[in-house]
Amino acid sequence: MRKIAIMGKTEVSLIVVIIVLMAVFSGFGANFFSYYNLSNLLKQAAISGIIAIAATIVIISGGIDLSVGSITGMSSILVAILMARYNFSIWLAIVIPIILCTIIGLYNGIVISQFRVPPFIATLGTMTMVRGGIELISEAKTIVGVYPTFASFSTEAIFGIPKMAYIWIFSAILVAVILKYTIFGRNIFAIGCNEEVARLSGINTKNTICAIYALSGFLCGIAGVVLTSRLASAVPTGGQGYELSSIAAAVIGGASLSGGQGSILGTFLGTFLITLITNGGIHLGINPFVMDIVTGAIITIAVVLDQLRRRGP
Amino acid sequence: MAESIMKRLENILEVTNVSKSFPGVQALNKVNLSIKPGEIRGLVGENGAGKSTLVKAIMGAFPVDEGKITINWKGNSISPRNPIEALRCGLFANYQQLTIAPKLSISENLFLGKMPVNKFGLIDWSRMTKETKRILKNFNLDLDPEIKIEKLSGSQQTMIILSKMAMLNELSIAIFDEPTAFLGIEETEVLFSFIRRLKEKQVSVIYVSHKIDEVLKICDSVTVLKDGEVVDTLPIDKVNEEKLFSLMVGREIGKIYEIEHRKPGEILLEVKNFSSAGKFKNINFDLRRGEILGFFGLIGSGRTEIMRSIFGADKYDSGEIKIKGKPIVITSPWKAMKNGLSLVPENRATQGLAFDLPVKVNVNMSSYHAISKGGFINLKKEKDRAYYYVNTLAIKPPDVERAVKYLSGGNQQKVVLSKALCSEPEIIILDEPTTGVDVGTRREIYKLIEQLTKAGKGIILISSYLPEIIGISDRIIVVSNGMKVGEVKRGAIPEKSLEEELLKMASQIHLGKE
Repeated sequence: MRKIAIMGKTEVSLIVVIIVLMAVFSGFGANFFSYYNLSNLLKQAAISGIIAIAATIVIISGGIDLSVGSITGMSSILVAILMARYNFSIWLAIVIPIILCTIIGLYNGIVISQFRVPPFIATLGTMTMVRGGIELISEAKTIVGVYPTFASFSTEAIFGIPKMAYIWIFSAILVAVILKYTIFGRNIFAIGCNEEVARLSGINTKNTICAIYALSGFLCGIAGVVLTSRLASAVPTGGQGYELSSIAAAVIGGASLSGGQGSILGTFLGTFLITLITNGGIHLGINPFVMDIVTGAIITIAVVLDQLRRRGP
Repeated sequence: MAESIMKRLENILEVTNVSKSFPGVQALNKVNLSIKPGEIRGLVGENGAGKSTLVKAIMGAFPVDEGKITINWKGNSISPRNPIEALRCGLFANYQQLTIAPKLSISENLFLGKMPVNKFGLIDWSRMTKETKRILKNFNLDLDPEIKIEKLSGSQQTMIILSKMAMLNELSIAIFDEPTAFLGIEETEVLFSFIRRLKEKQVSVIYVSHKIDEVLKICDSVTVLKDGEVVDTLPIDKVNEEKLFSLMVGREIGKIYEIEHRKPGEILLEVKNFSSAGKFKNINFDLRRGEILGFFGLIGSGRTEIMRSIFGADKYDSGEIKIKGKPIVITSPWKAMKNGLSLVPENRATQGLAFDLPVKVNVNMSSYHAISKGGFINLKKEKDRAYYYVNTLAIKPPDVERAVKYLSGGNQQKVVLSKALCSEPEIIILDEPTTGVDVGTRREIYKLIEQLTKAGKGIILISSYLPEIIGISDRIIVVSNGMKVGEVKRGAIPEKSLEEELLKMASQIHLGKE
């Protein structure tokens, strides 16, 4: 029930933790609540936030997508190449990579649903292949020379909130609406709970799984575009590390790796919390490696608390 | 005083004034129960009467709120606080399906934790295989000890659990909770002779079942539970089926199979020369409007496989399916449902329900398209439809937001039925729809089938429970070894000899093969 309700206990406790942490950070570091820092925080969270939404959809369906980082990287490098090498118009240079990433996601879905390859293996293969592709087309070099109008997108804000953050928020709302109000969304939960039950209930599970991974690819495509805008260039290692941090955000937000459970609001808050810890740590001058330890511990604690609460009667 | 102590020691199990409540439910209320060594005690009651809770309490699965459970183990009175202590007192329950590891072989499972070693301290595989063969033979199982558990059928797996039970040399009380849910007639006989052997060894048995005929056959005495309380404990020769039913339900239930039969109308479904290699061959039959067509066969006879293929859940090799005279090719359940078919699968836990999702999602799962526009679900209609079925089928508790895993077995089955009906099918295939369902709910399900035939639907009922299939079918098709071996019309053979006749047909080419 709580995975469909707008706000469950996981989300409430996350909000409490976030508020407490923000209070602590602002108490210790004077500049924490500065506009500059807060907007920086949102920018940092935006890209990993979009990828974490992609990861959440897949996790709810009982799968896992290890290729999110590579797909994001592919989108990022393609945007830069289309602009710097081939002078594509700004819109084509954005749309083409996103379409391509959606197709890569669809490919994941086909391998998983038609050929019954476990998602972990299928997306591990894709992750490696796509990363190889990135190195190949970029010749393992940083691509510079994106259009200034494109790069400036990441520095602009509307009503004081960075434009990047709007993309994150819109993606979250879009997916949350899909999960709550559409047949596709219900089918994702059903498949995650028990794929055989879903199939025998007349759900076209193969098509649904394809759509799930395609949607994941689509969101990573968007994340890649935002990443290039923020860096004003693209690096061959772009997106690396997101495959695991996105899972972490989803899990902190209450998603269960066994499927059928998870919420976009939870993932949104999970991403925010992880970013907040890193950002606050830097602000307080704590060694970033220590903050990694803290983040790791939070992942474990979040799941332990969830398990304890679920055990119930 | 001395006398009462003596009397106490006589009993192997004493349950005194035990109460247990879960949030919102008083599962057990001041339950008293005592069992003598070598006694086979039946435990009956409707779903939610507290049978499983009582069994779990005895097994030490959770602490009770009030009262005491003592086991007389080697002259000492012990109250096990957890399942491990219970096991040490010689308690064993078959409901612990988890005690077998699906990825391991039969022999590895039987010797889990106590594998024999040779003089080098390495596992003695050949001895293990030999021992396993010997144990399996006692249970009429001709299986390779190296086979992985997951490759076995449900009934074979149950038999493996039993053989594991037989290996325990220090057994005081054996608990069987719905042991025949996945067993065929032959396997049930093996189980019964196993239970009788236990009795000879002075082991006590608690036998929990919805199948009253089994309880009457195997038990020495029977305890009836209702709403968490003991209604009565009676010796078996003092009760009959009707008496137990009325004690369980608390009212006269009447003849449970009595329903109004229709005159069958036009042909809805035609199946011709339907074959699938290794599963079934040359199946021909038709189903008419308003008809209840029974499919009877022993476990492994192919009846479930035939229906799964018609429904598109499994592939088939050749044959023709016509719905209302129109030939169609069904390649997936999704297509089958579009053509007006619906299936209530054999196993509600693994095939019927998304356990973690609420009742309303499960009820609507097959037919969201009917309450959606442009892919967007009308959330009000979703709830309304769920409430409609919750009210019509009296699903308890009447809360559509509750995850189905918190419902009792009978109510879960009602949710599966609701899901099947919600898609407004013309042809409904019910595979063992009353497994683990209490008598009151069974009556409701039969009445529901009656209403469906009234509305012109065609019903296919698969059941291995003879009284049920004889009781409500208009026509019975008998399947054995993947082939149709007989067809009997209602009333063609007197009911008394029909049971025997069907069994004979079902086992004619059935040479103990699964």
